Amino acid sequence: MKSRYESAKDVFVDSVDLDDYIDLESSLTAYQQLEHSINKPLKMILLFGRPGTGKSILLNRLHERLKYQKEIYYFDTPAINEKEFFHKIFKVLTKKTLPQNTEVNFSALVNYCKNMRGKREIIIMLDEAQMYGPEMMEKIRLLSDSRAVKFIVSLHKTEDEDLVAKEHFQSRIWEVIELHNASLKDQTTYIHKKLLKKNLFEIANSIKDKNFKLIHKFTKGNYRECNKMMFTIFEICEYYDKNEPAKIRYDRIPKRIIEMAALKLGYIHV
Amino acid sequence: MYNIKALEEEWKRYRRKKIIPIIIGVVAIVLGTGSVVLFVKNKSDILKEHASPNPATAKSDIDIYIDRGITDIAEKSNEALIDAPIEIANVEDEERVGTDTSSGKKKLHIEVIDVSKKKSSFKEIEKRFRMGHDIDDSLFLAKSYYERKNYKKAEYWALQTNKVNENIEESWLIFAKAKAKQGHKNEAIRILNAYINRTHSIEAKVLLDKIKKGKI
Repeated sequence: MKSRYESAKDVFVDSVDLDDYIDLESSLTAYQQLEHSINKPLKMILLFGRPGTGKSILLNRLHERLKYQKEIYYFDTPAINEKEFFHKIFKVLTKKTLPQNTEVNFSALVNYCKNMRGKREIIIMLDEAQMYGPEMMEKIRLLSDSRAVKFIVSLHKTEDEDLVAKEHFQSRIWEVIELHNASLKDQTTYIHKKLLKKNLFEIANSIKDKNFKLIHKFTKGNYRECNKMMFTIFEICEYYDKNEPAKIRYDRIPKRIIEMAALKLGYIHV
Repeated sequence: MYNIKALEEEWKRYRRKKIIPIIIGVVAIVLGTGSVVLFVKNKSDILKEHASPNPATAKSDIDIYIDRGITDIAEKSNEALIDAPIEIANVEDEERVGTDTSSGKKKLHIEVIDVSKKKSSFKEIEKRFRMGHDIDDSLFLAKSYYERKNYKKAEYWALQTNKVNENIEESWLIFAKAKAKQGHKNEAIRILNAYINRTHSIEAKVLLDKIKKGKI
């Protein structure tokens, strides 16, 4: 028999699937800010934030919303090398595919872009841009200087990358949008809405305020960590439901299980 | 699926580890509070011991020595301090004194200010006696004057003591000794005989014998 917690567990499998997107106050603000920036005559926009703050899903959503209105492209994974990257750019600009054994003439590409100015406006979103080297970023900047191509660059914010971002983009970036971890209120809404979206009302109601506080304390409001935590909690619940039902109550999630999940994920240690 | 049993064990260890500092904290708070309460209690007991004497004991010998007038005199004149045992009779508030109660009398070591050399201090005590008629004051004056060989005044203050309370043996003895010292040997013998007939006091008999033999 399938446990009720199995469906709940699957809700929190980490993905950038737009069906899983949850409208929150903070993410809505970031989305509106990004949409507004796109409409400005800016060359480069930096989307900035720690891993798991929702950058990828935000770019994904923007792409999904604007793909029929604007010429917008989403590069979700960085190119292995410069050659591959410019092949992709070439394809976006010319809508033609280059043969594998050829290389893009960068100067010719820049000139092509300059000729496009005023005729076309292309938006390219680069996720995980910290993977691109400084030389490649310089070339991206030169392309954006043509004003025919606009780049939205998404970067992880870690100690080192923060420095890279500051040094490299300070003079080139025109607008920075920073994403933060969720507040307790936002995280509570996020978990609730995710469960309710899959009609898991009883399970959503079994998570009490003190549970949310504890989950927020462990995950610090990070969406990715929250997904991991909820997945683990429901996986433990699923085990008890199937094997030792006496150890679980369906009307609430015991603190013990949340702490066990935190131990499992390394948020706390013995 | 995880090894839930292992995870449960890990969680139990985690709880134990988390609870121990809480228990230690609670015990520390309880002990701390207890020691503070005890300290405050002890301090208040000490303060009670040092508080002003009970009116019921105000007329005891202690009053003579801790009287504010005498201590003032001592401060002014830098008199020598004597650490002497004082006998206290009729102490009603025994708990406040906190000494041995088995004999009904108490011995306390308190600082006694020797004021016998200062005329001004005697004046102060005489003045106080006239106001309060405290036999401790008059007896003190009688003894002090006797020691200073001022037998006339010793006789006078012994008599004053006797007027207030005729059962104070010391006043009889000082009176008799002062009379003898002034050459009124027969009168001293007559007084002592009268007192011995009434009380059969051994000390009075010893003194009588001394006077008869001319040792005083």
